[in-house]
Amino acid sequence: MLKTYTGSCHCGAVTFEADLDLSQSTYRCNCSICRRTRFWPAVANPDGFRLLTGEDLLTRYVFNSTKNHHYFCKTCGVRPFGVGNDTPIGKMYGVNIGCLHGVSEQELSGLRITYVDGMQDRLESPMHFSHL
Amino acid sequence: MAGIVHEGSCHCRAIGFRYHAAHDPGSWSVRACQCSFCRTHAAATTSDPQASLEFEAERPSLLNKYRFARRTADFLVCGQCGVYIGAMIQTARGRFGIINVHALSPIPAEVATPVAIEYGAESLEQRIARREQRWSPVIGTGI
Repeated sequence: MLKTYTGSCHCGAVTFEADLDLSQSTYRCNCSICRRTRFWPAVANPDGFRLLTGEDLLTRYVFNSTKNHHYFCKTCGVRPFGVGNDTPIGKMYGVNIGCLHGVSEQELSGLRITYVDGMQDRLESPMHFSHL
Repeated sequence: MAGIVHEGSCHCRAIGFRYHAAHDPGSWSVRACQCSFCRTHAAATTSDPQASLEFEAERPSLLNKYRFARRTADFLVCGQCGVYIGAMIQTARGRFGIINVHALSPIPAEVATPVAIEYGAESLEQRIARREQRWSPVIGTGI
């Protein structure tokens, strides 16, 4: 069931609200940017994500196909969310679970994870994923 | 293998490091610090007082030195791609640093799974002393 969460980057400049269903799977990916940043997103629809503060403090980073937009805080470097513009479900927001407020350690440790093979530009699970 | 240089960088390669390891990667102490910064960056760091560490800024204008809480160390974040590569502290005894294992390229296959560690109860003096003892001496003038 969708629930509205608030979240922020580390320094607090960027804050957001997101409608997420954490009973659905979250994601881990092995692509070059997710690998370096250990990005751990839950999926929000475009109308389920609201940036509250810090728009002018976000940097957008794109690479390769440039269809995915990776946003991070200019001050602390934390990436509260990214935008996938051409995914199987259309445009979507990947909301960083590590940035959410009010989610208990117990709940975090129980979240389901789907592993995707971004390194090969595939949504299927990679052969090796336990390190992700 | 001991004596090997392990290179790492942010995603866009604007900033990076050369980690002169003293020991085999399989024996590295890999730590998932539970502070708010390391958790939001999902960092896993390593250091070894017998290793040495060179930070490099291919594009110095993109280097972001982030400080928070007690403001004792610079957390090195790329201004272009946002990746956290490591941290450095300057004390009376010199410069000491850690690397974010996830910025290594490649990540040695033998590297251990990170162990969660909580440093929140340390005093300022204990924190600085721990870093002087356990972090790697920083060499070079890159950053």
